[in-house]
Amino acid sequence: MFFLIVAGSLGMLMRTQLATPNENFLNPFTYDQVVTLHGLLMILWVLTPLAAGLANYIVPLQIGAKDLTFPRLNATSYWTYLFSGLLLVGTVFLPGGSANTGWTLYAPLNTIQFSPQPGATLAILALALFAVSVTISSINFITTIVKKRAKGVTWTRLPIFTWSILMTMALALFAFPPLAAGLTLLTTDRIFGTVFFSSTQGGSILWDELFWFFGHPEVYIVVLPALGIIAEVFMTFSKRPLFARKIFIAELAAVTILSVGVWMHHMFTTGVNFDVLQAFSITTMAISIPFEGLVVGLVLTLYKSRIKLSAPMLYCLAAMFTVTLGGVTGVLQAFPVLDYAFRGTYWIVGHFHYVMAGTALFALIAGLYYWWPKITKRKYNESFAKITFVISFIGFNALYFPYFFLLDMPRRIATYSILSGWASLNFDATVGAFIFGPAILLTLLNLILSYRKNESSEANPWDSKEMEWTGDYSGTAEASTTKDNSIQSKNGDKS
Amino acid sequence: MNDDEHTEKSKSSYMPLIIASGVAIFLLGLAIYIPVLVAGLIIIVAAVYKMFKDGAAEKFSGTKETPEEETYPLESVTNEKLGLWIFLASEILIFGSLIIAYAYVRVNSGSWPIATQTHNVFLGMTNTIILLTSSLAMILSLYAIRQGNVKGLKIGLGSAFALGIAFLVIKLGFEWPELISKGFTITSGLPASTYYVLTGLHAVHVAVGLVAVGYLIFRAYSLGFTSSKHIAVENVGLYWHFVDIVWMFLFPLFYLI
Repeated sequence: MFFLIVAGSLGMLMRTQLATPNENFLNPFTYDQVVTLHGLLMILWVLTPLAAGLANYIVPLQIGAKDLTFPRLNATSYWTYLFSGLLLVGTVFLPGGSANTGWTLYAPLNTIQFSPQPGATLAILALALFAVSVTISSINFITTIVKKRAKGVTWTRLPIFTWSILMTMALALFAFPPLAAGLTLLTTDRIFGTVFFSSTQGGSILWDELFWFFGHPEVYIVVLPALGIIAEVFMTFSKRPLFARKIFIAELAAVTILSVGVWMHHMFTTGVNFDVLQAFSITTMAISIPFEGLVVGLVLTLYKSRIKLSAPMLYCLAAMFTVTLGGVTGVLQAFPVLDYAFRGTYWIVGHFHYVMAGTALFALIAGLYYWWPKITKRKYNESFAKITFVISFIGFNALYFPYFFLLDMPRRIATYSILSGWASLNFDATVGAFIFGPAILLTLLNLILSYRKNESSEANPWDSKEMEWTGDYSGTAEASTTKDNSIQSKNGDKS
Repeated sequence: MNDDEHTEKSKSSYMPLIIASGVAIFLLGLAIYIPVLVAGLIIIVAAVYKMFKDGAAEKFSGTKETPEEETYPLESVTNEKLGLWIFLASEILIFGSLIIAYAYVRVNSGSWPIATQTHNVFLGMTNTIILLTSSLAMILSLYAIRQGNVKGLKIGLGSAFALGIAFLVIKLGFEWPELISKGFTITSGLPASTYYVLTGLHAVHVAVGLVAVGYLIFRAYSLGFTSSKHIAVENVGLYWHFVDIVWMFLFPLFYLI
């Protein structure tokens, strides 16, 4: 299962490179394609699988299982994921280029009339294949977590990260089928000439509904594992149990359930009627309550504790900072009035990059660092890791913080005139991007270098009390030996 | 890393890779150049055939269950069955979304053709009865094998298979050509779009079900099921009933109202 994580990171490298839109180099059509691919790849093919890859290794260890329930389905899921990614990237090389619709693929721009290139069709099919891959893997994870827990790992003792993955996978199971349905309709529209999204009776609103019913839960599919990782890291480095653990799990569940009821807030400006507007405004504010509860729980875990500031901890603290900022800017959107003003501006871009690129990516890197000694039996270079952290945090903020001041700059424009007064802030952001990107590369380099070095790490370098480190699932000797054996055999293969 | 990959692979097979690449090539062909699609299809069919020969149920079954596991609250459900139920949940969501999309465009449309005038209710009703009967046949075959009656199993599966084929023949061989000759083609507007996509997707599910039932028949003749070893019959049956139930929704929605 380890190569899954490596391929995930490699994919991320490739995709990070793909995804630097340079606003002066590209013509508008190319720019649109880059925006589309950046969004799709980053959200779906990088953040989601990176969490799934980590989970693939960590969840069985945390629950004391040897592997996921269906190893072959797991492989199928991985390969479909890989090929769907290749198909999507491959669309760039087709005549006419790739999809240029933005990652939301809004109708009617996604119909054959407005984007006739076959690359757009292929991108849609790649997305459908990805949905299949996610569905397969969520079946596998849910079955595993429900059925494969070692003796003693009862629901109340289930580690937080596993809980968060369980919620994530349940959410994925709920969110991706409607997307698949929407994509089916879109594909038949494009290939067989049905008229779902080009007609006035269905059209763009139908697509919006189907897409955002998937799209908003997808945000939580990305964020929940991040929160799980943060919780694990906080517990280990503050040597404290999680503050109000049961409430924390309940809040996770509340966020999961509420997240399927807020999709309309992406559509406040589409002319939905006032009652609907109010209802979704309320659910959007409602979801922020358990979410803030999660953040408070995490902060209180640290309160008055002795924190060891290792790299994973630093990344998690950074993620906490960004989730707070991203969350606060997000709650403001719950008010339709403000949403009318802000939508389609760089304010929104700043908001979701703080949540996605900030929280999710930082937390996932923290997870990689944190479990790296467990996965590879190697210790990465700690001071190198701290330096890259500082660089990437500075770069990140230089990149995205200016967006909050670009309140009046529309998103998705390929270029702007000097008169608009956006130039200096944009320049700042670009400089930030060129700090942030290489910093992420350095981070991965650090991990890869440590993997190649033959310096093995001790079994429990963080001195953690969590089950996957101690190997003690309620003290049953048998469970821990099987687990050690499986790890030894895995490592024996590698060296 | 390569070693790790190999040990993983030797435990399983290259099948997942082959299937995934087959599907990818299939989609590539669908989007760009239709002949490529055929190549993908050949790969998929070959892979499925190979799995038939090796016994797909073993290949894709879960890791062994041991009694030393916490399984609360689903102690009595096997891993495979739980996985299948979760899969069916995702299927319900797909068809649910599509049916809601259908309701949405229909409510938004000012005029909609009267169902009983467009569609042949007699053929639709016949198909409904055929599917229900095939579900009955599946249940009877499960009962038969529970008592160790292999002959009953073969008869049950065979009639379920034949009824499934009959359903597809009526649908694709009689109904669709009739509709198309009336000018009710896939490009002729939303009533036709929704009809063809929903019933078409359902027909694809029936076809997949037929492959699964075909596999059961193959197994019944070669490796054999026994009264204690017949989990595949039950699981395929679950899927078959699900496809049946979907039709129970589609039939009134399209043919009657």
